[in-house]
Amino acid sequence: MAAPRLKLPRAKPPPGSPPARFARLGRGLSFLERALRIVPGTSRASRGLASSTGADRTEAFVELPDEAELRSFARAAAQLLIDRAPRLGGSKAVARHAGAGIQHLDHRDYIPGDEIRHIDWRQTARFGRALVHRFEAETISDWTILIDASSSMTANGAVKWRCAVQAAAAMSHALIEFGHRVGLLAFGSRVLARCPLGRGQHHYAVIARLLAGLRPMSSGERSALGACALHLSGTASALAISDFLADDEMCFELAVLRARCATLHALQVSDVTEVRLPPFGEIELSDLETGTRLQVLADDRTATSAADQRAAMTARLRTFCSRSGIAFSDWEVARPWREALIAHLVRARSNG
Amino acid sequence: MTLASPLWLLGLALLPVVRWLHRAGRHRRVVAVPHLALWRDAAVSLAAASRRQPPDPAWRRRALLAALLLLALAGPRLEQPTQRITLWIDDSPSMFTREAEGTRIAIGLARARSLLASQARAEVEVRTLADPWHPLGPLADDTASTLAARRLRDPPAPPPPALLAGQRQHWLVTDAAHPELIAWPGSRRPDRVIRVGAVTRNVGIERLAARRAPGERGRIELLAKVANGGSAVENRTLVLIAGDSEVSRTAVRLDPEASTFVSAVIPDSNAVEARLLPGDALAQDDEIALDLAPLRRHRIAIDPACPRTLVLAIATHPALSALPAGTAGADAALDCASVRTATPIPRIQVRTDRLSQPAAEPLRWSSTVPASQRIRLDVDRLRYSAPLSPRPGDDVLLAAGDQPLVVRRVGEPAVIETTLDFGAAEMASDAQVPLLVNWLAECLFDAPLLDAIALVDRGARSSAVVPGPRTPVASTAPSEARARESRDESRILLVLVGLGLAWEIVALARQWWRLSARVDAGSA
Repeated sequence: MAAPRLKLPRAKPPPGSPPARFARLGRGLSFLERALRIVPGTSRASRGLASSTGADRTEAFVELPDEAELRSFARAAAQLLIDRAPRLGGSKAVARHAGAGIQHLDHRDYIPGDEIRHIDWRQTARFGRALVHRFEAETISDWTILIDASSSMTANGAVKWRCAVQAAAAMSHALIEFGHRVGLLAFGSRVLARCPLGRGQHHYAVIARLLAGLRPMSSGERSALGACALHLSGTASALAISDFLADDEMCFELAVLRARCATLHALQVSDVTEVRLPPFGEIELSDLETGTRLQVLADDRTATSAADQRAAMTARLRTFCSRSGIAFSDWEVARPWREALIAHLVRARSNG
Repeated sequence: MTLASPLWLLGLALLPVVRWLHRAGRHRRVVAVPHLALWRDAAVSLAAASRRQPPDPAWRRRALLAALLLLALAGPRLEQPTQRITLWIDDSPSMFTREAEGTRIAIGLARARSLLASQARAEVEVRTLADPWHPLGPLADDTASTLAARRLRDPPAPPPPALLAGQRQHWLVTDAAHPELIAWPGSRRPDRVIRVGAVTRNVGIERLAARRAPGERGRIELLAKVANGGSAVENRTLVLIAGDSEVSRTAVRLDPEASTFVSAVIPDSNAVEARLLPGDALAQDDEIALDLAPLRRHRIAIDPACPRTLVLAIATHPALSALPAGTAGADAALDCASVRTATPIPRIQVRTDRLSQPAAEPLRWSSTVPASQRIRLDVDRLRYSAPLSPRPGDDVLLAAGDQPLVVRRVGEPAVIETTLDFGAAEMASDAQVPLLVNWLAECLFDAPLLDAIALVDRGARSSAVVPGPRTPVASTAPSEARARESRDESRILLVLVGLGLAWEIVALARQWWRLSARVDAGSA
């Protein structure tokens, strides 16, 4: 069954737009209105962040990828995201686990306490004993996108934030396209917005709406990736999109998350221009997240030193992720999101 | 130092604003970065980064400029000690007494000049006691000659209180011969008295008066007052000169501060002069000239048709003389409607073109006629011969009931028109006719004609030349009475502030240009 064609807005309007605006997008979007209404927790989280229009919030609208780009990316990433696909050469079977799900796995004898509705009456009649369906565990296909909404993402015109949102939207669409359940967590010093796990195109609409409505604080919002750990199930896969600008490159928090999910991806968004300073000579630097100030003498050597520091941080993070089994990629925002995501997925699959 | 507009100094309270405006100066230019640890190696000084940055040091210079500007706007004035002196000159006649070194007034001015020469910054203004409201300006070399050439009508008097300002010193140059000139109002005393004079002998003519001799037509009685203003007995000879000839010579002997009167009858003349012989130190009061023009008779051209009673009344009047009609040089004319004078001169016009009739009703005088001039007339003896019709502007001087008798016509020359019938038998021998004629003549000339006196009076003690005792001066020390002259210094400050502001503008422009160049280079 073909998925309904979605036509999502390229540039999201200001938060709090009425659902009637979606109705103008076409007849096929009517279910999106229902979806938005039936996920009260999601919509509340979305409204809570999106309705905040304070002067210290980033005002730039994020242009989400259009449907053609999303479908193109999904097709390109199909083989990389379908975990049950047999490997080339058929040397390794797909690991499948029984659990709560909808995909049939096999049968077993009925034991008291099983759901009556799960009894396979046809096989029961055939074998003469009560047999129940066993389903393939769905948790292996649950993905949670963790997007960094701290103030450091708004530096240099919030270009990192725009890239992160585009990547999160593209990954969400591709995962939903292939039957995964996808959730979203926007984190700063705490979890700022949350979209629970869900599947189906209507769920992507929910995620897209949430992403479009997010406005990270331009200052004072720290990065606490570990706050997302409480919202992850033990078997989920997680993709953390962040600049990982912290004193320990968020290594500790990545380790916490790694213990709470099956697979963890870390996509670092970096911007080489953010280390450049205005040629003012002696200036005072202010940390966007902490507000701490530092007096420096801006010159070419300063810029080089900052770039070196940034490269060293990336190297340390890459080493940590490699040792911890975390799929890590450094995405320079000058690269297109499609190319960066494909490269990350390829690297993750080859390492896995 | 004083300030013209001290309220501008309230603006100094806003100087902290200048410092506040510089708090975000060059050292506080802040750049937001995503992660501060990237630049930790480039930190200038951790201590400097942790403490609060001071404002741009330029705030002190600019605050100083603002303070100077406010001070300049407040109008500072530097006061400099300056002496303002009013030099009062006693210009009474005794000050023109000639001493061995010159007149007293010249000696006094010379002493004042020498005293003022020792004053560093003295602003001197010369005034006289006889004419205090017209200053003579600063003390100059020709001040003495200017004073000698002046002809003043008023006698000297103490200075008016309005001119005795407290911020000026008042010096007085006097011989103290007239103590009343030193008794200044409000117990005020001169700050310094320059006393001059040593001569103590003088006899002068204080007054010369003349009137027509009542019993001798064509002669004039003179009365001269001669006073001894010195301290010694004096013998003088008073010589009276009428025209070019001496008419009288009288010897007088005068005790100190005594006076005597000398009388003489001289023929009618235009002027008379009295001289004292021999002369003395004060030559001005040794002679006196008297113009006798006020005593001259008014010449009336008589119309031959006028009644004889009227002509006789004019001819016997002491201040009038009758001339035949048509004589040139007549002061007025008596017109009885037979002769018309070609020249417009004042005239008394007698209207006699009707039959005479008595003025039966009571007499009424015009309000313009003072009570002293209203003569007592017997209305039963008055006759009038023609009705008078006053025109607008005319003044009915005398009327009998509603019948005007004497009317002053409006316009020039003066015309007194009367309808009194002086030729009537009832008035021909009436004694009130000369009074009526005198009244008509006084109305015509608008002046009293009887008992006219010509007089030159120099005032009592005008001959006194004996210097008085030393005059006490004001107790205020001259240094305490110094006025202070303020000098405007705001222009200097404004120039300084203007230069400072220009320098700041140039510096800011250069800084802006440099920053723009660096930003462009950084962007490139």
